[in-house]
Formats: sequence, C-alpha cells, structure tokens
Amino acid sequence: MKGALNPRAEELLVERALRPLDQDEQWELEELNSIDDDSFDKAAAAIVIATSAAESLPQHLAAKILAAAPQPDLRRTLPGVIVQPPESNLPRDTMVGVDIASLAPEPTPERSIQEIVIPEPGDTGPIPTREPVVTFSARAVIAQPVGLSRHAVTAPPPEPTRLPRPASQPEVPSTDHLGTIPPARDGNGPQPYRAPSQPPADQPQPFPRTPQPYPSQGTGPQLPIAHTPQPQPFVQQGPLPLDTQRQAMRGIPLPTETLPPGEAPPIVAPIIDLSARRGQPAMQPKRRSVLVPWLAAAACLLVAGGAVWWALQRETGDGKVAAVAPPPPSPEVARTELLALPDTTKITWTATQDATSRGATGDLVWNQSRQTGFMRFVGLTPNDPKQFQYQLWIFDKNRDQAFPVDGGVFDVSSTGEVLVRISPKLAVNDATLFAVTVEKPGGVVVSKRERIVVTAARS
Amino acid sequence: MQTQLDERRAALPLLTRVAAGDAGAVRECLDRFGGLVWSIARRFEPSDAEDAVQEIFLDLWKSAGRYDPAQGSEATFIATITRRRLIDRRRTRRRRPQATEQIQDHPMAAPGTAADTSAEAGKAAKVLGQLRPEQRQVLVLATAHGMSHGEIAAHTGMPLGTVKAHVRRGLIQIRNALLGVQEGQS
Repeated sequence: MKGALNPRAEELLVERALRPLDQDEQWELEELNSIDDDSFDKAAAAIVIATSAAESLPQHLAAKILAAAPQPDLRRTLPGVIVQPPESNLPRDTMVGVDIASLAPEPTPERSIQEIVIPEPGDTGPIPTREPVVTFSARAVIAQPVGLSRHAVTAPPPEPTRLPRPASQPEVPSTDHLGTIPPARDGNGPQPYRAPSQPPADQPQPFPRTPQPYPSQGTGPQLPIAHTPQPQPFVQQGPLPLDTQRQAMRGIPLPTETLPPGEAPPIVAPIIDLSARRGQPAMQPKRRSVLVPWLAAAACLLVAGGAVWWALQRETGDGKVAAVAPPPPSPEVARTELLALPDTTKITWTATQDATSRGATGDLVWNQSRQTGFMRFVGLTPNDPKQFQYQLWIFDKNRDQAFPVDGGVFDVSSTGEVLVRISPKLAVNDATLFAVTVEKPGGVVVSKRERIVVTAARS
Repeated sequence: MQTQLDERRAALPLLTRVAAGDAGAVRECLDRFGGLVWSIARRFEPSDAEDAVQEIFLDLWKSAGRYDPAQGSEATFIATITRRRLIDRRRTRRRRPQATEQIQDHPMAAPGTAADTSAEAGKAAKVLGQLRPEQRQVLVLATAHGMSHGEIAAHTGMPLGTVKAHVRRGLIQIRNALLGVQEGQS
C-alpha cells in the first residue's frame, strides 16, 4: 500500500526528520528497509517553505557564495577515475557564457575584412567532450592580421572542372544568413544566392565576379576560407546545410544552375578574393600558394587568442574586471603544489585484509586550511561502479566519531597509480583519521564499516 | 545552432544545469532560492546564519546532480538539504536556541515566495491551515526552527508527551498529503 510503513520505521523516520539518528537507529532503519525513505524529510521541508517569509539573501553574502561556486565545466579527469556525468545528454560543447563572435573586436572600417567560415564541429550537434571546447559561431569576422601580405592570401588558380550534379537530384537552393531560402525574383521558386545589395544578374556588373573553385587536392591543412569582395560579397552568412558544408570543404562548387551563362558559380568556401582593387577585376593569381591553409590556420589562432585576451581585459557592467579562470592544473601538478605548502600532511595508507586492498599502497595528502587533498593508490582493485564504489570517510576530532564526514565516492579503473582529489561534503575542522570503505553504488550516508579498505591516521 | 543549445539548456531543471557546471544556472539558483535558504538559516541559527548559508550552498552545488524532478520540486530538494545541514551543524555545535530567544509567529508564506514554486509547500500549507493552532505551533517550532521536544515543551508550557504527539501526527499528516495517502492508510 502506498505510503504504508512499519510503525517502528515510521517512528524512526519522524525522528530523522527532526534530528540525526545515532548509529544504532540508522542500522535499525536500514534493517527495516526504510533508510532511503525521505518522505518525512520532504514533509518537514515543505513545512519550512510554507512558513518561510519572503526574504532576500544579503548581497555581500551572495557575492561570497558566487565566488566560492564551482567554475564552469569542473569535471575530474583524473587518471583511472571514472566520472559519471550528471546529465549525459547535456550539451557540453561550449564554454558557457562565452560567445566568441560577440567578444571579437569591431573591425576597423579602413582595413580590409576577411571572413573565415568555420564549419560547425559536427553534423549531429555538439560533440560530447570532457574538456571545454570553444565553439565558434558559424562566421567570425576579423581584421586581416598584421603582416599577412596580400600575396600570402592569393586565391588558388581557377579549375574549370566541376563535378556534375546527378540529374535526378533536385537543385539545392542557396541560403541566406539565417539559413532560409531567399524568395525567387518571380516568386515561384528559389533563386541563386545573392547578397542583398547585389544587382540583378541581368544587369551589368561593376566588375566580374571571380570566385574560384578551390582545388580538391591540396597540401597541408585546409580551412574553408571565404573572402568578402566589395561591393559584392559572396560569403555565406549563416549556417549552411551540412551537405553543403561538406561540399564546400572539399572545394566542390555549390549548385548554381540558375546563374546567367558564363557567370562563375558562387562558392561558399573556400574563396579567397582580393578586394583592394575596387572597380577592377579581381587579381588572378599566377600560382597557388601552399602557405594559404597555414596562414589561415594562423589567422584562426590569432582570432582565438585575441578573443581570449579581450575577454580577460573586458570589463563587466558593474565595473569589475571579468575573471576568466585559468584551466585547473592537472591532479599531479595540484598534488605537488599542495605538498609544497607548509601545513600539508602526507600519510601513508595502511591496507586492511579486504580483498580489494591486499598489497595496495599509496598515500594521502591533506591540507587543513584549504580543505582539500589527494588520495594516491597503487594496486587497489578496480571496481565496477554498478556493483560497488569506494567511499572516503574523514573523522573529525570535533565531530561525533559515529558520523565521520563523507569524503565522496570514487571509482578505480586500473591497478596502476590512481589519483583522486578529496572534496569533503562538510568542513573538516581537525581531521584525525581517513578511511576508505566499500559501499553500494552511489555511496551511503552512514557506513556500516563492514568493508574497510585502507586507513590513514594523522598523528 | 547556438539558439537550439540555449533552448535545450533552458528546458533542463535548474539544478541539473548547476550540476553540469553552468555558471549562469548557479547565479539563477542563488537568485531564486537564496532568500529561502537565508530565511531557514536565520531561524535555525540566528547568530551564525551567514556561515551556515555558505556551507549549505557549497553542499548544494555538490548535491545538485542528485536532484530528480520526478521526486519533487527544486525548492523542496533545496529546503531538505538546507534543513539537514542546519540540523547537522546544530548537533555539531551542541547549540540550540534558548527559550528566551525571540521566536516569531509562523505565518504562512506570502504569495510570490518560494512556496509558490513548490507544490509540496502548497499541500503542506493546506494541511497546516487545518491543524489546531497549538498543534501547528509545535510542528513549526520542531521543523522550521529545529527545536527539540524538550525545548518546545519549555517554550510553550505544553507537556512533553503532548509535544511529541503533535509533532508526530502533524508530520504524518503532511507526509500523507504529499504522497496522496488517505488518512489511516499509512
């Protein structure tokens, strides 16, 4: 029956909603299979909410809490440690809150503008990754890098060869910057992509457009690059269909059957055009430079570096300099740095006779003032997180020894050296003993201490 | 693409986004529930509420990944963590509010507070409104102020047994209301 409880379990659960149970009571509740029943805790919480007055958190306190909040994308990447993502389907492909396009400085009008079209990283959406990945917008506008000579970005020679489109394949219309199909001039169908300022194709052109198909075979890395000729930019200004992006990356011209005869097909990428000679035909390169892709890559790096630098220097709305946290050091480095502090304690593990820890060695590093540390294990038996997990307990001199501080659960995936960062759930005032137990997946609130794996006593 | 990602993120529970390391969600969580946590902490630990609130939020950031929308509202989840942490702190410090301390009356939460965001709180308020005043007072002192049975007895002048009975019956009633259990079924 829904909500039905053993009377003793009900009594204990009521008590637990009001005060912590002692070890015997916890054990009794576990024996009654009611240890995970939090219905009375929720009832008490609901009473608290229902009787809470409308108050605001003091601003200085909110600032303190925010400062102590975890930085974005904090994920342990310790060797040998399996980290279960809290939400596996959560998009994690971006540096949260950072829009590179919005961070880019405004281009100087006098300088020529080069547009770099960077395709999305994947065709099925975000790429799950354990490392923060900066996702560029579909288009990043940058000023031409200093020192990048005009010849260095010479367009490749035109190649008349063009892959025929299968007759049965419907024509793929170009898209505008929003990814939508612009209306046909006659209103009955798609028309080839043109910039809004572009005059109709049947009118005389100020100068011939010279988009050049990029060779499909090249040397070195090739980034799709589009240059904006003036006054008729031919740059795709929005996300392209994936097939189109792939075509562009291979240097395959996009379908342009409705272009007037003799007009070169608009190539989204890679196009490199020189816009300095306004009013004249664009320069026809004599030969293709192998430096182009490398210079394009260098330009990308300059953009990324400049954006990060600019973000570091950027001021927030309230006048404070926005802090961009540097990437956290590796666990090995962090452990070494912690060991260098004068108040850091290093204790060697003492293995018990438990099957998981026979022959296991290692040590524990703990810093009281920083409330953090590292566990190092060598030879600890790897665990299946679905079967059991290891859990650290920190015995605090100032706390009831029946309720050591939960140091968190962790997994061991190899018998080699494993480094695990310690993040206690509560502040530890005076740690006297560290112990690792084997617990059910997810850990427990109070351990029965049936399987103690290793201990480390602080002298 | 970015807009779609933003929409997908926005559709996730706030605490799930916090667990995923979304800095914006952390700030939003603080904006939405900071007042609630502060209010509870001030009742449990009037003299040390600031430290308590910082500790609670530290715990909340770590526990956010355990939140399951199917098990209740975010406000209830946060209030549960808040109470547990405050009870633990009080036990650790062996300090309980003195009977001489001013304990205000326990009005129902005003509209626009966290109670609006918690369906459980709405049900609890309904049950509280049906209780006798002395029973409601005892229940609120025990759950929202963290007072022990003995302290409540001293504070209200009620017999200890009566206090225990009021607290137990009241909690069971509200628990049953949250579970949708009819009286006498549990």
